[in-house]
Amino acid sequence: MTVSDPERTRWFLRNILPHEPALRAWLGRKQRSGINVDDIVQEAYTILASQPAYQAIRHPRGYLFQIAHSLVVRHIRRARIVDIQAVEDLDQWDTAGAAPSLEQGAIARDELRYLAETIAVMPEKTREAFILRRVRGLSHRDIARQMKISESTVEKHIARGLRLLAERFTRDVTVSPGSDDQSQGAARDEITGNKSKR
Amino acid sequence: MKSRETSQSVDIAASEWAAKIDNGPLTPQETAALKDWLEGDSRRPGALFRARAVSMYSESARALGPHYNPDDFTETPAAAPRLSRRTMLAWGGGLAASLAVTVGVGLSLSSSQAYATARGEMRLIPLGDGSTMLLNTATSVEVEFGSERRLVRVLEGETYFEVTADARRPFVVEVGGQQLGASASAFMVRRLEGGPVDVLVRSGNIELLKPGRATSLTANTHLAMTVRDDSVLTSAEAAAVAPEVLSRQLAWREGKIALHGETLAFASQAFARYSDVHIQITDPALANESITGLFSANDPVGFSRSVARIFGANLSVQPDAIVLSR
Repeated sequence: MTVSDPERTRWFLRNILPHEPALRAWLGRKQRSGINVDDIVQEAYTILASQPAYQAIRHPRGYLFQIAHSLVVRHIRRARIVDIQAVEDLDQWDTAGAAPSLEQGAIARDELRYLAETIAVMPEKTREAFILRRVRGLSHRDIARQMKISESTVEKHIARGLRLLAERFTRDVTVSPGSDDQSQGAARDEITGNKSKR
Repeated sequence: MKSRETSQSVDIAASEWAAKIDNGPLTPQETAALKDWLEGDSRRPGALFRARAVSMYSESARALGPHYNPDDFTETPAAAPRLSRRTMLAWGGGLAASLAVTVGVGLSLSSSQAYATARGEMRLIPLGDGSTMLLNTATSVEVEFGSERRLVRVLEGETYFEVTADARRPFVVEVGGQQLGASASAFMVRRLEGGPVDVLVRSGNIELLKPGRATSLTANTHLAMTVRDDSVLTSAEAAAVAPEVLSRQLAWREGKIALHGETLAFASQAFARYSDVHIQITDPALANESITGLFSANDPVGFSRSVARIFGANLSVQPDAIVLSR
């Protein structure tokens, strides 16, 4: 499994995770099919976690969308009562979302500031534990001693920090209703307070 | 219908496993429990995969440096900068410089602020206008934001800029007496020990402002300049760089040194910028061996250990030096 494979994790971080907001937006637009977006995303990642030849995937974004699409098909077929509308929608699934993104570098560019800002808005204790762990590099045991809490509480704080980070990294994109995929980059730029092109 | 675990609670459990793994190797009992958990639901391995990736991403927080103050990042970039005690102190320190500078600028009211990092230190500085600069080891800069322009002087070291555009106030970086004008862009400026100047443009546009005309640099461009007496430009050469070369050059932002076939002598110099404990290579043939890999900039011992293993060298770690011999 992925637990001890940093290479695969790094590949996922660089090539898949940046596309999660677009994937969620794309799946979210298909509300009527009655699918659970979170379920699809998690299951798609499970498939990628055990994909043997992941390094050979030439278009990770397209591949991710393809996996998600086939999972949606499977979910809808498995449902007891099939919504006729959902089946019709399936046929019309556009592939615009799967096209290479123009703003692939959007996240990478502001990565460190994004991190700095996300840590800054964490709840107080979580923030303290997270900074001691990630910025100062202390062990969980040393953090527990310094904060006068148990090691398992430290672990809970770190876990919570990771969730908040994931939340912001992959969901915190305001997409106006009906907007197409190309607006993704613009939406993220708004959040990071970035750029007005000359 | 049997009630199904929500994907949210799958995420919570996954993040707790990721935190546990982050703390060190799992015990055999924990490993077994993790295996059971993963096999219980087809969403769990994916959720853990994602949590591990986010955990890996968060490791670059190390690059925020010991001066990282979360309060600097809690406001929106547009908000007026607050006068924290820290800022006041820094301003006091930069007072002399600020006076000297204001005279030169004339009417435009501005104050200058100095920032520096020690050897082995890294520091991310938000500039109040939404721009940021990341100072690498042993770097010193001066910031002077006025009503007409935003000026940063790079005195020494290596700085990575992420600039937000402001049509009313151009962003200018001064290095070795030369000026670079930046639009919305990301770029690195390096000058070590008064030597040549390197500029690497990652995105956006940078202009080398020369009397008479400007040279424009686009993304994935490297500009090498030599200057005399900190004022006269003696040569300037721009060349395209491949994105992977660019990422290697910028690996320091994650606290890493990226080597790709460089000699051990070169590597030893690269590490010397980050630590007072230098790597000494006594054997000339060994110094000439080439190495490839991504190494922690603040861990010369770890690097030397790998080198010793790869090249069958002897390693001796002394208080003030690391000696590699053959």
